[in-house]
Amino acid sequence: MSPVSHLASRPSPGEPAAAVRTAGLRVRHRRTVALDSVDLDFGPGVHGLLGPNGAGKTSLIRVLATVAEPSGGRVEILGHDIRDHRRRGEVRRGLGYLPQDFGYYPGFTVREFVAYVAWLKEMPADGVPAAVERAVARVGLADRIDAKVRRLSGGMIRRVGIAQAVVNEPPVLLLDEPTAGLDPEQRVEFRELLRELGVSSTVIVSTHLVEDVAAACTEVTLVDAGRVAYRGTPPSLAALGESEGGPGDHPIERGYTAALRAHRASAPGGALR
Amino acid sequence: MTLLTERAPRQRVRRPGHPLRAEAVRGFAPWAGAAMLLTLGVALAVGSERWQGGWAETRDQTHAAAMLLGVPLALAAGCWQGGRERRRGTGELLATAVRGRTAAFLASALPVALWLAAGYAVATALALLATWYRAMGDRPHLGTPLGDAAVLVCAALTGQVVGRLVAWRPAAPLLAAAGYVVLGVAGHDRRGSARYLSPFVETSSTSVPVWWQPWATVAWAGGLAAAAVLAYTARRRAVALLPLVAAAAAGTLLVQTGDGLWHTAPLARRQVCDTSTTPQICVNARYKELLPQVTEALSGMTGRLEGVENLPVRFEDLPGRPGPDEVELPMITPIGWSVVRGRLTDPEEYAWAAGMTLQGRGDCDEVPRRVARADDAVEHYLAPSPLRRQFDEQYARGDAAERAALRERLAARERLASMGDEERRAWLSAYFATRDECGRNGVPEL
Repeated sequence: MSPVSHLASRPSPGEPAAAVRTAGLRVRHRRTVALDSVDLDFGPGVHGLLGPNGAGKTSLIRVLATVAEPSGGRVEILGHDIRDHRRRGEVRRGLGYLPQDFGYYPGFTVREFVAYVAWLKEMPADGVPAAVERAVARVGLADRIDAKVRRLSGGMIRRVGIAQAVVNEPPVLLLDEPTAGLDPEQRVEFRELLRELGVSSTVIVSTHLVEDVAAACTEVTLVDAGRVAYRGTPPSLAALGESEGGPGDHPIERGYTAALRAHRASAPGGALR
Repeated sequence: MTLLTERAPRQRVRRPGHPLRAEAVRGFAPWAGAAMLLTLGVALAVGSERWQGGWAETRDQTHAAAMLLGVPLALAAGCWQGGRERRRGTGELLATAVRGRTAAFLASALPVALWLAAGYAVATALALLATWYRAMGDRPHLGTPLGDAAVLVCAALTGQVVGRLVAWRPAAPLLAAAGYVVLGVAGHDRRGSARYLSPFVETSSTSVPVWWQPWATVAWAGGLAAAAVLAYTARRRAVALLPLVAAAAAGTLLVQTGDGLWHTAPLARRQVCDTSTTPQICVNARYKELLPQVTEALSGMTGRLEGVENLPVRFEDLPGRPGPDEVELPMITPIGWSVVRGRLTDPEEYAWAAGMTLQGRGDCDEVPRRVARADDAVEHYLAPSPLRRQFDEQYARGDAAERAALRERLAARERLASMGDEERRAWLSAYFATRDECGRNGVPEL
């Protein structure tokens, strides 16, 4: 698979429909272009978003989460254009989102906080208690469900963030740096959870950790300077690293640097900003 | 972290309760309510002698405390809560909520507002309880406290909007200070018609608002607060015009009614009297329970006046000047001077003040020495001042003229005291026939 091997396209017969689709997506922050002409589609599975700092990963996740407005282009989630305010509630009902800087109310218990998010997501009230317990158990905090969030460690708080994201069992899950603050054992467990979620949901994970991508992702998208630099699978990225011989300690790291260099070499005018 | 296969054994699912419950019992909201209770409690307790026992005074004191201290506190508390999402970094999560912005806003703002109102309600209930224990008459005035509670809720909601918009930590204390200044100035303004729009109004304790005044004030303040909330949260901001129109209508009604918003309480125009004494003793119906105490305090004087003629018919206690056959009962209000917590503070001094009003001549610039001597003797006979001994001692240490005057006064007192009952009644009848006259004509020799 070559850099930017396939861009957004209509699914062929038999291929699952993309839950998330962008076409010509453009995002500006004042005078800076964060994303430019991004065409992507994501179907069920775990999709790793890789890229250097400032590449536009968080901007992409925030637009998909309907937190930020795109400056141009089209974004469809679950078949709805996110610019259509009448459909936005429907889109959000199917989203789970863990922001990079996860905020929480320290005085709430884990149960109360996750239930609060469930209320914000307008989940049916009678199903909320069980959904909360299920989500908290999924992230391994069942024994701390009635502890106040302020009494939890940083890693546990990150898991509360994941629990609130999955409480509505969303078909589209957006996780921005979800493994930040987790210890190695927790990361291993989290990857297992990601694989499980990816069976039925479209999970988009922004991360710096190539090990996470190698272990948990079914697809990888490399973003650089606001453009898609590479799309493929982790094995194809690792193979690119082996064939191109980029620097790195891990096959995917080598593929990552090789893809970046190839993209930068081919990009007209170099970086966007 | 566990996979589905490793989930904990199935247990009975515990309901987390409504999310508003978590907002209501965790975090800042209960502290805001406690702060309101403490602030108002201290402010009311410090000056309790000025309101305890009087329902109207209790209404006025709780109103002043709620408006001048409670509203700034509610503004600041709301503003602080409004900045919570920014401080906690939860804005991104809220931005992805399916539930509307207005509902999410109210989920955060209402618990604080309601806790503040609860703090106010408890402080007011304690004040009412304290007054009920020493009540002198009248009845509780509940319209104003209900209106004030609603104004506090409005202030908290408005503060929350400001807190969401202004990303500056000193915003909360500065908003409170601004609220205090605006309400203080508006409440003490006696001229501009804009004062009728202020939720803080300083009035006489004999006044009561027209029945709809608290509700019009709530509509005015509530309309503005609702407009601010909707302008901030609603996707179609034009809906904020609806409460704004309601606020404008209520505001127009308040301004156009002006002074008609308040009138003298019907109860304050009535008095209750003890007709068994001479003169009769009447106290205002607002504190009718004081009548036995006042009668008891004046009993020495009224006993000595039995059979005396030319006296006023009664001590009266109504708004305005007394009638031609009446004298004004010494002031009972404002509470905190003659009367504290339903009790006359100094019955002896009160009786002396009543005796002085009977003598009249309070408006005379100067009276002849002979008349002054007679006045002193009558004062001493009816109800001497508690300070009389000190005055006499002061005169005794004075110059020759003062010592001579004292000797004359002591002799006059002695002459009046040593008269037979009939002779004294006749002399007093002649004396009271000349009350209010500043000259010597007619005042009998003593």
